Order: sequence, then C-alpha cells, then structure tokens
Amino acid sequence: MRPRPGLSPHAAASIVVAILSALYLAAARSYRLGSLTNPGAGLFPILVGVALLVTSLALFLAEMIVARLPSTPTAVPTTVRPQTPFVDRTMLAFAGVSVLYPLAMTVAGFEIATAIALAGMSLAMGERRITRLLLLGVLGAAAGHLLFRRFLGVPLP
Amino acid sequence: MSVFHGLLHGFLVAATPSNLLAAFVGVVVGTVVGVLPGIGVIGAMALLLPYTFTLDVRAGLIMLAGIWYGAMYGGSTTSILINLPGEAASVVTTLDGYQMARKGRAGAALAVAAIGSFVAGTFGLVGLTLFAPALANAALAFGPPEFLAVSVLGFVLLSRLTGGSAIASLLMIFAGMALATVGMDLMSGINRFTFGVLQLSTGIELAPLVMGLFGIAEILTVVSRPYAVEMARVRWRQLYPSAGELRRSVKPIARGSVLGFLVGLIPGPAVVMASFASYAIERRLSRHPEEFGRGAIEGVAGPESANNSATSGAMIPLLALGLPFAPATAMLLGGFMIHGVTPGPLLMIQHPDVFWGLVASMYIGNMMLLVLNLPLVPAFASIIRTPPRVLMPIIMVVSVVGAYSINNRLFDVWVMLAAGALGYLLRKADLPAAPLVIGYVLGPFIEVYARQSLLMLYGNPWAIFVRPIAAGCLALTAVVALVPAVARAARTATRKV
Repeated sequence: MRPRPGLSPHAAASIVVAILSALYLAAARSYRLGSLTNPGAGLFPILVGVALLVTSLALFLAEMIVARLPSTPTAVPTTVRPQTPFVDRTMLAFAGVSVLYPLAMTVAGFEIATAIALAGMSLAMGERRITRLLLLGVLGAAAGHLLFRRFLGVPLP
Repeated sequence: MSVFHGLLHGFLVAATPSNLLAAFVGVVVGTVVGVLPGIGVIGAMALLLPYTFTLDVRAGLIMLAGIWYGAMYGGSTTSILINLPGEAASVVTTLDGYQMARKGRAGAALAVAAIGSFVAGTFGLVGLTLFAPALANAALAFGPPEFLAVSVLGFVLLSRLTGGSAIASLLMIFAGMALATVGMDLMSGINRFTFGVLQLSTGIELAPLVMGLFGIAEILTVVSRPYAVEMARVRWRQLYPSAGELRRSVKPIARGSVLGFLVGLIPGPAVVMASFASYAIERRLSRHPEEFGRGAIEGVAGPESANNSATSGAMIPLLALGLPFAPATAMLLGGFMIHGVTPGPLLMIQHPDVFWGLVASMYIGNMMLLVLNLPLVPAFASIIRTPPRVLMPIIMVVSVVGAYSINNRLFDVWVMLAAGALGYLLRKADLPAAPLVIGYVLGPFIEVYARQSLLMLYGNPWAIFVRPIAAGCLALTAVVALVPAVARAARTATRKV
C-alpha cells in the first residue's frame, strides 16, 4: 500500500487557487461590507473568496485522500493517455511570436507585423521551406489588409 | 402574440437578406469549425463575437447561433471520415461512423448523420418554440430570490454533470464569479480589484476572456500536438443510405430527438451528454448489440440526432430565464449583452423580433445545413487537409485582430493572451474552463439577485424558504448535492457489512 508519488495536477492547482483566493480575500476586505439589510460592495467578494478558499482546500484534501488509497489493479485495461510535456519548445516559440505580434503592430504597422508573425509562427511550428513561409506571410498580410482594414474597417495600427 | 403569430413574425425577420446571409455565414463557419479538430465551437463563437459588434443585434445572434448548431453537423464529418472528432459531441460517432467508413459506407453514415441532425434539430426547435414562451410566461412571476435559487440549482447541477470532479467544477465556477467582481460595482459605484488600472474599471471583457480560455488555449494545444490526417474516401455513388440502413435509423433518430431535447434542458455539457446517453440507449435496445463498435448505423443515427436536438433544448433556459447553463449559451448571452438586449422572461415582450427572429432563423439554418452538408461533404472534408502550420498562425492573427477590434485597444489583446495562457494551464491541470465562463457570466447577475433578495427580505436570508418556488429549487439543490455522497456512504457501509 504505497501512496502515489508527487502531487496530482488537481492538488497542485488547488494550492495555487488557495493562495490566490487568500490574496483576493485580503483585497476584498478593503471594501465596505455593509449589513444584511444594506449590503456593501465587499459582501459578495468576501462570500465568493471564502467559497473559493474552502473549495480549493476541499479539492486538495480530496486529492490527498485519493493519493493515499491503494491503487487496485483493474480488470479491464484502462485507456492510457499519451504523456505530453507541460510546455514544449514548439509551443513556447509559437506563444513567443504571438506575444511579440501585437507589440510589432504598434511599431511596424499591421501589414508588416502580420507578414512577419505568420511566417514566424509557421516557422516555430516546423515549416522550413522559405517559399512557403514567404507566401504565407505576404498573402496572409494582403488578405488581412483587404478583410480587416478595407472590408470590416477595423482601425488597425 | 401567440406562438403561431410569433413564429410567423420571426420568419419575416429571419428572411431578410442580411439575416439570411448571417445564418448562412454562421452555419458554414460552424460546419468548418465542426470539421476542424482543435478549434472548438466555443472558441469559434468567441473568436467571431467581436465581428458581430458591427452587425444588427438580430443578425449577430443569428450568426452566433448558426455557428453552434452548424458545428454539431460538421463534427460528424471528421468523426466518420478520419476517426477524429471535430467536436466533443461527435466523439461517440467515431465508434461506429469510422467503422462504417472502413467498410466503404462512409457516405451512408454521413447521410444518416445529416438527415438525423436535420430531423432532430427541427424537433428540438418545435420544442423550443412551444416551451420557451410557456416557461417565460411562468418566469414572469419570478423575483430576485427565485432567480437566485434557480442559479444556485444550475451551478450545483453543472458541477455534478461536467463529467470530472464536482469539487473542481465548483472551484472553477467560484473562480469565474471572482473574476466577474473585477470592475465597477454597479450598485455602489466603487471600483473593485482594479488596482489603479483604468481599463479594468469596466471589468474584464467577456469576449477576450473566452477567446483566450477556449480559442488561444486550443491553438496552443494543437501547436503542442499537431493532428495527422488519414482520410477514408467518400464515393459519390455510396453517398446515400440503403433502404435497410434508413429503416434501421428511423427509431434511433426519433429516440435521439426526444432524449437530446430533454438532456439539453439540464445544465452542463448537454450536447456531449446527449450523444453519449443516446449511444448507450441504442446499444441497450438493439437486437444486435454486438454490432456496436463495428459499424452499426444506429450508433451514428442516435447520437448525431441527440446532439442536434440538445442545442435547441439548451436555448430554453437562456431565452426564457436569461440563465445560460452551457458554455455556448453563455457566449450567446455575451452576444445579447453586447447589443444591450437582456434575455429572459421579458425578451418576448420587449424584443419579439429578436426572440422569434432567432428561433425562425434556426429552422432556416437547419434547412441550409441539410442542403449544404450532403453535396458538400467532400469539400468540407478537404478543409482538414490544410496543414496546422498554416492554419494555426492564420487563426492566431484573426484572434488578435478580433480582440483588438472590440474596443480598438491592445489591452484586450493582452487580456486574451493572458486568458489563453490560463486556459492552457487549466487543461494541463485537468480543470474545466467551461464552468469558469458560466460562473463569470452569471456572477454579476447572482450578486445583484442576492443583494436585491436581501433588501426584499429585510435582511433575513431564511425568509427565502417562505417563497415556494425558491424553496423548491433550494430543496432540489440539496438533493442533487447530497444524494451522490449519501449513496457513496451507503455503498461503503454495505461493502463493510
């Protein structure tokens, strides 16, 4: 009867939420609580914060109890989920370009930023053919210009 | 206005060129979204929400609704052809649909799915047409305590039915409600949790939040693990089901229609629950249960009918009570609120053209889907061949521009990207994002209902139990919350004996 090693995703998340809800409650204390006949702006956040804190602790406890239970072999083989890394390099590179894209828009304008971003994101996902990257960037920026700026009239930078 | 006159008026509204175009765009986008794995219907509705700002309220809502039920049609295509469900509601269709495709009956499976979807969708709409006005009339007697009690019941039901841990769902609901308290308190005018950030005084916008939680999180998930495609061929001459296949599909379609509509009324992921429940029932009722999982047409007809009927059922609490208990209806509520229209018991009285126009457009959209889907199956299926490394960057650009266009400011883009990171982390932590959105959308309503109830009841919260409807809802809430725990305790006690 060995407890399973490490924290489960739910248990780890419940600790994070418990900390955040404690901070939320601390901030909520600065608003007027009022009375039951005249509730103030702070009453509802306090109630929600307490509910959040209690639920996160309940989730943590439930996960701890489950972790201590002996793992019983199942008669029917269960589906094995493919293990994917928490974050991988491709996703990080893609996310990085996505974050830089709005910043680039303010500096270089929508069209140039879009062309670079489309090619950059595709490159991050493993596209290595220069022609394809160029085509995607140029055609995507042109289509975006026509659709968003001309047709929908979005006042883009 | 009687139901008949209302519906007639709705058809006149829905049949205007701009509303027909909105319905067409909605169902086509919905079908494409349903076809594409990785881009869910909620993400797509969220991504297109900003683009409906410039449209008339009726056209905007007609388009958003079209995306939802269109995705239910499209989801079956990839389930059957490549064993890859485009939508969670179509997961169960892979079991027999793909097996039929491997036997050369892909066309028949697609046709039965489309016919079943049409029949069930229309059945659900008839239910919506008849029941929503009746419920709205009954809800006119509701006051804040009743709405508060119904909302609490909905939350507890939602937490029980999302499929995962009930505590985790409740946690997400409360997290959503906490997020909703950011911004100005409308009753006192005080800024809460804005920390001096001016843009937060109007609260966190729904559209970028949902775009991030669903759309961006889905993009990041697909980027981490791109899908590979191996598609079954559809032969035109095999597109139509045989007489025997049609005969075997009639009863599952009928049962799926009724079941889906009823399940749609329950808070939670109704369309997914409906399709799984229908599959289980069809297998139990079948004379040949051994055929299930090996290409039984009943396993396609029932679930595909159920998930379409459920979309109409799920619209009833939104349109009649103003309470969305499914993520897709929460998005529709966002669409209503953006255009300054409040759904609920007064919707039919104050905005009959919006209510009846939306309902009538769904009849028209269903017809469009039937006409579009059968002949265009190969075209829709070919969309899946677009490589993710082309598709995902394009969707990201559309998302960024969409978020920017809400208020023409970059702040909403940052909110969307932050919500995307949160959505991705929630997926990794196995926590559901849908209850968070529902908590976020309903949070402000619940706060107002709670404060108004306290004022009405002279500060005595126990007085809520004197009101029969509210007391009934709260009693039902207690039953729903406690029964599983009591049953579990009883099982444990029995095992020990």
